[in-house]
Amino acid sequence: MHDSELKKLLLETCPVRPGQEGRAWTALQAQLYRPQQARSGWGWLFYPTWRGLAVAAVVLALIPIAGNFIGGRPVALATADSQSPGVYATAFYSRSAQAQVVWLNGMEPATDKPTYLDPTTDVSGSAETPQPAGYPNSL
Amino acid sequence: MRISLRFLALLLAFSGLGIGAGFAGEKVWVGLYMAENGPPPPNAVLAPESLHRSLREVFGFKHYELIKAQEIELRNEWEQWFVPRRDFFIRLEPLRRQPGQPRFINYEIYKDGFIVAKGQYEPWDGMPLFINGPDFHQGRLIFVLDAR
Repeated sequence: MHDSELKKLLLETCPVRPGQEGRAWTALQAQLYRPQQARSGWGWLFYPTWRGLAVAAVVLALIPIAGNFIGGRPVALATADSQSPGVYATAFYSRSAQAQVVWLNGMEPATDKPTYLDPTTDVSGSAETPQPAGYPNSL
Repeated sequence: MRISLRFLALLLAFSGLGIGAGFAGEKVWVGLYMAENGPPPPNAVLAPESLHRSLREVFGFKHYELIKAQEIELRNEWEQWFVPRRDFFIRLEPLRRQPGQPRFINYEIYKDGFIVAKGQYEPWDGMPLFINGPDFHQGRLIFVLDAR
């Protein structure tokens, strides 16, 4: 069937009323240009506007801040090296405590006995200075 | 549009503050705590709540009594000593800060006059460094370094 025959058949069965084409064209135009004319809430996202530029700048500024809180911190862990035989030093990060920890093992317990910092020529009866918290070696 | 630009200016200003929030200040607080399970003395200065929680997560003791504390200036790039006890103390040396690089601190732990360990540490706000010291009586001595 040729186009001309089809057109003739359509005109016979569905005749176009006067003004119908014009109304259809107007309705089509209204549909096509409605988003731009109505300026929907998200229209600015698809066209270069000052509002879009401002939002893009804000997003760019927020990315490093968000990364600071979400992605964790690029922290260099503390290091620890033993300098004494029998003492073992380990450094690690405690996620639950959110703290870096240096763990020293093998040290002799601290005591209240005199240390090398105490004067060797102690004069008996000299005035004793009170120590904080009752620990003689505390300064 | 004017409101948007004002909002943008405010956000940019605050974002600048936010970017720098993670870096440490120019001071490090150093304290020696006595960790113990028994009841602390009535006049004892205990660790603040957040620090107490962190210390307990790592060491497991019930109480943390502050023995002595001191602040060191990171701008003073020479050795600084924190000597809370005659038999247990620490030497700190803030290293020169290179442009664009974090600041590091060298530390050395001394027990009975002899160095037992040394290392390096980068101070960060909100992330203290705990150094597990020797046992003492029924508890333990712990160094806490905190950026201010």
